[in-house]
Amino acid sequence: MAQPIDVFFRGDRPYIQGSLVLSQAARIAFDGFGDGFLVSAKFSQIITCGVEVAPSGEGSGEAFGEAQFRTVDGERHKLEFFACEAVEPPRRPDRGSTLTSFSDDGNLNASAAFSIAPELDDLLAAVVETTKKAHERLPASV
Amino acid sequence: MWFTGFRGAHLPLNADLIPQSGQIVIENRVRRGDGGSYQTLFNARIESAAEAHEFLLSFAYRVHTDENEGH
Repeated sequence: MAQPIDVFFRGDRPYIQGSLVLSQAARIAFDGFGDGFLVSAKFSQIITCGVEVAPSGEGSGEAFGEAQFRTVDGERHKLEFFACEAVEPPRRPDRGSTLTSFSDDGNLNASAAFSIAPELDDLLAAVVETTKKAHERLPASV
Repeated sequence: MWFTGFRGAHLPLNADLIPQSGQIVIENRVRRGDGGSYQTLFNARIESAAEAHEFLLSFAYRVHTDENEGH
Protein backbone atom coordinates (compact mmCIF):
# COMPACT_ATOMS: atom_id res chain seq x y z
CA MET A 1 0.00 0.00 0.00
CA ALA A 2 1.29 3.46 -0.91
CA GLN A 3 2.20 5.91 1.85
CA PRO A 4 2.61 9.67 1.47
CA ILE A 5 6.07 11.02 2.24
CA ASP A 6 6.94 14.45 3.53
CA VAL A 7 8.25 16.42 0.58
CA PHE A 8 8.50 20.17 0.02
CA PHE A 9 9.79 22.79 -2.37
CA ARG A 10 13.18 23.94 -1.12
CA GLY A 11 14.00 27.61 -1.61
CA ASP A 12 12.72 28.92 -4.94
CA ARG A 13 12.93 25.58 -6.73
CA PRO A 14 9.81 24.79 -8.79
CA TYR A 15 10.30 21.03 -8.35
CA ILE A 16 10.76 18.41 -5.63
CA GLN A 17 14.37 17.35 -5.28
CA GLY A 18 15.18 13.71 -5.98
CA SER A 19 17.54 13.67 -3.01
CA LEU A 20 14.64 14.62 -0.74
CA VAL A 21 12.37 11.90 -2.17
CA LEU A 22 15.08 9.30 -1.59
CA SER A 23 15.89 10.39 1.95
CA GLN A 24 12.23 10.50 2.97
CA ALA A 25 11.62 7.09 1.40
CA ALA A 26 14.70 5.84 3.26
CA ARG A 27 13.06 6.80 6.54
CA ILE A 28 10.25 4.38 5.70
CA ALA A 29 12.75 1.76 4.56
CA PHE A 30 14.81 2.24 7.70
CA ASP A 31 11.78 1.83 9.93
CA GLY A 32 10.53 -1.18 8.05
CA PHE A 33 13.72 -2.98 7.16
CA GLY A 34 16.08 -2.02 9.97
CA ASP A 35 19.58 -0.72 9.41
CA GLY A 36 20.58 -0.72 5.79
CA PHE A 37 21.90 0.97 2.69
CA LEU A 38 20.64 2.75 -0.40
CA VAL A 39 21.85 0.87 -3.47
CA SER A 40 20.27 2.47 -6.52
CA ALA A 41 17.70 4.98 -7.69
CA LYS A 42 16.11 6.00 -10.96
CA PHE A 43 13.89 8.96 -11.85
CA SER A 44 12.03 9.33 -15.14
CA GLN A 45 10.46 12.75 -14.62
CA ILE A 46 10.56 15.90 -12.52
CA ILE A 47 7.86 16.16 -9.87
CA THR A 48 6.03 19.31 -8.78
CA CYS A 49 3.46 17.78 -6.43
CA GLY A 50 3.11 15.41 -3.48
CA VAL A 51 4.76 11.99 -3.51
CA GLU A 52 3.69 8.54 -2.36
CA VAL A 53 5.96 5.54 -1.93
CA ALA A 54 5.06 1.85 -2.13
CA PRO A 55 6.87 -1.48 -2.23
CA SER A 56 7.43 -2.58 -5.81
CA GLY A 57 4.21 -3.85 -7.39
CA GLU A 58 1.94 -2.53 -4.65
CA GLY A 59 1.34 1.00 -5.93
CA SER A 60 -1.22 2.12 -8.48
CA GLY A 61 -0.54 4.10 -11.64
CA GLU A 62 2.79 4.75 -13.26
CA ALA A 63 5.79 5.22 -10.99
CA PHE A 64 8.02 8.22 -11.73
CA GLY A 65 10.95 6.64 -9.94
CA GLU A 66 12.25 3.75 -7.91
CA ALA A 67 14.94 2.93 -5.40
CA GLN A 68 16.56 -0.22 -4.07
CA PHE A 69 17.66 -0.65 -0.47
CA ARG A 70 19.62 -3.45 1.12
CA THR A 71 19.56 -4.52 4.75
CA VAL A 72 22.73 -5.36 6.65
CA ASP A 73 21.77 -8.99 6.09
CA GLY A 74 21.83 -8.49 2.33
CA GLU A 75 18.08 -8.55 1.81
CA ARG A 76 16.97 -6.26 -1.01
CA HIS A 77 13.83 -4.10 -1.00
CA LYS A 78 12.59 -2.10 -3.95
CA LEU A 79 10.35 0.94 -3.50
CA GLU A 80 8.50 2.86 -6.20
CA PHE A 81 7.52 6.55 -6.19
CA PHE A 82 4.20 7.94 -7.39
CA ALA A 83 3.12 11.51 -8.07
CA CYS A 84 0.19 12.78 -6.01
CA GLU A 85 -1.18 15.60 -8.16
CA ALA A 86 -3.83 16.61 -5.64
CA VAL A 87 -1.22 17.46 -3.01
CA GLU A 88 0.52 20.85 -3.06
CA PRO A 89 3.74 20.50 -1.07
CA PRO A 90 4.71 23.39 1.24
CA ARG A 91 7.70 25.60 0.54
CA ARG A 92 10.62 25.71 3.00
CA PRO A 93 13.79 27.81 3.13
CA ASP A 94 16.86 26.77 1.19
CA ARG A 95 19.72 25.35 3.24
CA GLY A 96 22.53 26.94 1.21
CA SER A 97 25.47 25.19 -0.35
CA THR A 98 26.63 21.80 0.91
CA LEU A 99 30.08 22.42 -0.58
CA THR A 100 33.04 24.25 0.94
CA SER A 101 35.27 24.06 -2.14
CA PHE A 102 35.01 23.00 -5.76
CA SER A 103 37.40 22.48 -8.64
CA ASP A 104 36.97 21.01 -12.10
CA ASP A 105 38.73 20.64 -15.43
CA GLY A 106 35.93 22.10 -17.57
CA ASN A 107 35.29 18.67 -19.04
CA LEU A 108 32.88 17.24 -16.44
CA ASN A 109 35.57 15.94 -14.09
CA ALA A 110 35.43 17.59 -10.70
CA SER A 111 36.13 17.33 -7.01
CA ALA A 112 34.52 19.14 -4.10
CA ALA A 113 34.79 19.22 -0.34
CA PHE A 114 31.51 18.95 1.55
CA SER A 115 30.33 19.77 5.05
CA ILE A 116 26.84 18.57 5.92
CA ALA A 117 24.50 17.34 8.61
CA PRO A 118 24.48 13.54 8.92
CA GLU A 119 21.44 13.17 6.69
CA LEU A 120 21.10 11.13 3.52
CA ASP A 121 19.35 14.09 1.88
CA ASP A 122 22.38 16.31 2.52
CA LEU A 123 24.86 13.69 1.30
CA LEU A 124 22.93 13.14 -1.94
CA ALA A 125 22.46 16.89 -2.36
CA ALA A 126 26.24 17.38 -2.10
CA VAL A 127 26.80 14.84 -4.87
CA VAL A 128 24.14 16.48 -7.04
CA GLU A 129 25.49 19.98 -6.36
CA THR A 130 29.00 18.89 -7.35
CA THR A 131 27.73 17.42 -10.60
CA LYS A 132 25.56 20.43 -11.43
CA LYS A 133 28.49 22.79 -10.88
CA ALA A 134 30.61 20.69 -13.24
CA HIS A 135 27.90 21.05 -15.90
CA GLU A 136 27.86 24.85 -15.50
CA ARG A 137 31.15 25.09 -17.37
CA LEU A 138 29.80 23.38 -20.46
CA PRO A 139 29.21 25.64 -23.46
CA ALA A 140 25.77 27.11 -24.09
CA SER A 141 22.98 27.28 -21.55
CA VAL A 142 22.81 23.86 -19.89
CA MET B 1 19.35 19.69 -15.86
CA TRP B 2 18.22 16.99 -13.54
CA PHE B 3 19.42 14.02 -11.53
CA THR B 4 18.18 10.79 -13.14
CA GLY B 5 19.70 8.20 -10.83
CA PHE B 6 22.58 6.09 -9.67
CA ARG B 7 23.48 2.43 -9.17
CA GLY B 8 26.08 0.32 -7.47
CA ALA B 9 25.98 2.43 -4.32
CA HIS B 10 26.19 1.39 -0.69
CA LEU B 11 25.09 4.59 1.02
CA PRO B 12 24.26 4.18 4.71
CA LEU B 13 20.81 5.08 6.03
CA ASN B 14 22.01 5.21 9.62
CA ALA B 15 22.95 8.80 10.52
CA ASP B 16 25.85 7.52 12.62
CA LEU B 17 27.46 6.20 9.43
CA ILE B 18 26.79 9.15 7.12
CA PRO B 19 29.95 11.23 6.63
CA GLN B 20 29.60 14.88 7.66
CA SER B 21 32.64 16.02 5.73
CA GLY B 22 34.90 14.74 3.03
CA GLN B 23 35.52 14.91 -0.67
CA ILE B 24 33.32 14.11 -3.65
CA VAL B 25 35.05 13.19 -6.88
CA ILE B 26 33.22 12.75 -10.18
CA GLU B 27 34.76 11.49 -13.40
CA ASN B 28 32.78 11.73 -16.59
CA ARG B 29 32.48 8.44 -18.46
CA VAL B 30 29.81 9.17 -21.04
CA ARG B 31 28.23 12.27 -22.55
CA ARG B 32 25.77 11.48 -25.29
CA GLY B 33 22.72 12.89 -27.00
CA ASP B 34 21.52 15.09 -29.83
CA GLY B 35 18.79 17.59 -30.62
CA GLY B 36 19.67 19.50 -27.49
CA SER B 37 19.01 16.63 -25.05
CA TYR B 38 21.97 14.97 -23.41
CA GLN B 39 22.76 12.31 -20.84
CA THR B 40 25.89 12.18 -18.75
CA LEU B 41 27.24 9.23 -16.77
CA PHE B 42 29.86 9.55 -14.05
CA ASN B 43 31.99 7.47 -11.75
CA ALA B 44 31.29 9.09 -8.40
CA ARG B 45 33.29 8.62 -5.23
CA ILE B 46 32.59 9.96 -1.75
CA GLU B 47 35.75 9.97 0.34
CA SER B 48 35.64 10.49 4.09
CA ALA B 49 37.68 9.63 7.14
CA ALA B 50 35.54 6.54 7.70
CA GLU B 51 35.39 4.96 4.25
CA ALA B 52 34.91 5.56 0.54
CA HIS B 53 31.69 5.01 -1.41
CA GLU B 54 31.81 4.50 -5.17
CA PHE B 55 28.89 4.31 -7.59
CA LEU B 56 27.67 5.24 -11.05
CA LEU B 57 25.73 8.49 -11.33
CA SER B 58 23.57 9.72 -14.22
CA PHE B 59 22.17 13.10 -15.19
CA ALA B 60 20.16 14.49 -18.08
CA TYR B 61 20.11 18.00 -19.46
CA ARG B 62 18.92 20.12 -22.33
CA VAL B 63 20.85 22.84 -24.06
CA HIS B 64 19.22 26.21 -24.86
CA THR B 65 16.18 25.77 -22.65
CA ASP B 66 15.22 27.15 -19.29
CA GLU B 67 12.63 24.45 -18.75
CA ASN B 68 13.06 21.37 -16.60
CA GLU B 69 15.78 22.87 -14.50
CA GLY B 70 16.46 20.94 -11.37
CA HIS B 71 17.39 17.67 -9.75
